Amino acid sequence: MKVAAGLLCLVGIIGLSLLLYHTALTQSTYDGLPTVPCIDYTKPILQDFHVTLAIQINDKTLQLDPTIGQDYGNCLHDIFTNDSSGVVYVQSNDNQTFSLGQFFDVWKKTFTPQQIFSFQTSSSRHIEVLVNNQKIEAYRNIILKPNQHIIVMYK
Amino acid sequence: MKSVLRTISLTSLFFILSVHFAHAHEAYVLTHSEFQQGLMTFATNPLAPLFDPKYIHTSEVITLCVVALYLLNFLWAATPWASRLDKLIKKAAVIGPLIIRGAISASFFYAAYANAILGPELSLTQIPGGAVIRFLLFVLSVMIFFGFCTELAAVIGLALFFSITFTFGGYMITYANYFGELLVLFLFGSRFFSLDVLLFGKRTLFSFLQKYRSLEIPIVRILYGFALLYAGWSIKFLHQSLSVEVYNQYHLINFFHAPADFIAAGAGLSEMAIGLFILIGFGQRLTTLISLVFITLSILYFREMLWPHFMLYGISFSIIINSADTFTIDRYLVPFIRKVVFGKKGERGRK
Repeated sequence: MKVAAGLLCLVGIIGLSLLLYHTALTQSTYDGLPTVPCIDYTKPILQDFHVTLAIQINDKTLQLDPTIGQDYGNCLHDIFTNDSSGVVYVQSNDNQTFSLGQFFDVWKKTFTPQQIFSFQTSSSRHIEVLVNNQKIEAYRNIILKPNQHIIVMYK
Repeated sequence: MKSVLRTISLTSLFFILSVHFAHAHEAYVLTHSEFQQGLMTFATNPLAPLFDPKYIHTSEVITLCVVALYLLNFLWAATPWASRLDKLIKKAAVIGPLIIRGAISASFFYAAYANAILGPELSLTQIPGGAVIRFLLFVLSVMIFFGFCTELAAVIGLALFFSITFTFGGYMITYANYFGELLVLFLFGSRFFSLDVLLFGKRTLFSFLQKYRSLEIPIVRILYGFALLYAGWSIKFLHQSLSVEVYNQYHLINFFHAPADFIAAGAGLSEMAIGLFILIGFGQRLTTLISLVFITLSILYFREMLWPHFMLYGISFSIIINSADTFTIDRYLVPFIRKVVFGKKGERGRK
């Protein structure tokens, strides 16, 4: 009887773990470490430009969060927004490059080849990214450059 | 008045930063490359800013405040009221292992959720078989939460700890507190409020070790203190630029108006003191309470990822409940003070 109960517990625990694992794999938030530093105003700003970004989910335009990059404490990350217009600012104390993927990391949103926010790709659904009207395949790694116009579509 | 406020705020900051940095290892709030770069920069004289003629007075005042606080603490601890309170708090000792189980379970759960292990900077993407480990962490989390085959879950956790040491090397010493808690769960089990007690009864896997159960809290406490001490020395002192970088990036100067290196040195010293005091069991409850208050303030201020702190809350509550355990200075010092100050025969140790 106790063996049966033990086995039942084991099955339950593995089942619950599988469920949690699946939930973690498909979470819509980015919970990893910061990949973009905060601006240090004790040092000079060596990069300062902006790009525009439009996100369309199922043909509906999604507004950007107006406080992306304004993190806990008094941190303003090197990539940030000031409003929800789609203008994304890049300011940095060094000349390192930043990618579109890092913008989503700062926003704490999932953006992978398989998923954007909670929307997953499938045979009928996919993510497409245009930079200045040119389609880019490795879209997470798109390097942000001055005056780019980026459109991210999930359809 | 202004100087008093300044001293209080700086004292607070030292502790806030010490606790925040101690457990965050700076890596929570800096990018991976910044952290790695910081590890390659060694401070030549990390204590020097505290002896800067401009700030030596502040350093002295803060030191005196801390000494006075500990003196008051010991005077209080020697009173009959403190003794009564101590007995009352110790009634909660039975839930100690349950707190530890809950803390490990929550930490493993959030670690797996963030695709990391022990701390967010230890990403599973850097470890071979990371996906399997992630799933395993969920399994261990659920097993420990429900108290199912706790010893088995703990030994798997210990094996994971050792396996990732191959990847992260000596840095793992900063996570010695996890090692301590898993070791205690493995050796002594946890039958209180568990599935194990329903399935296997009250006997633990190593029931012959139950006579050494008094070592449970000392193991947890000593390894926790050691982890803090090591983190303070290695991260704050040897690589002080990391703390300075956090101070500058998070613009803490706007709040505290003191140079970054002065604050970093003070935070390092505080962290090492907290680690040492916990390790040797000196002013245990006060030290742990201070660390708890400031862990909480740090969370409120930085709003960082919370999960590694579950473990710290668990350990801290266990230490507070089981204060003056075996191998602590408090165990002997408090009765001695009671005898000297109140003229009563000091009890040799508190149960």
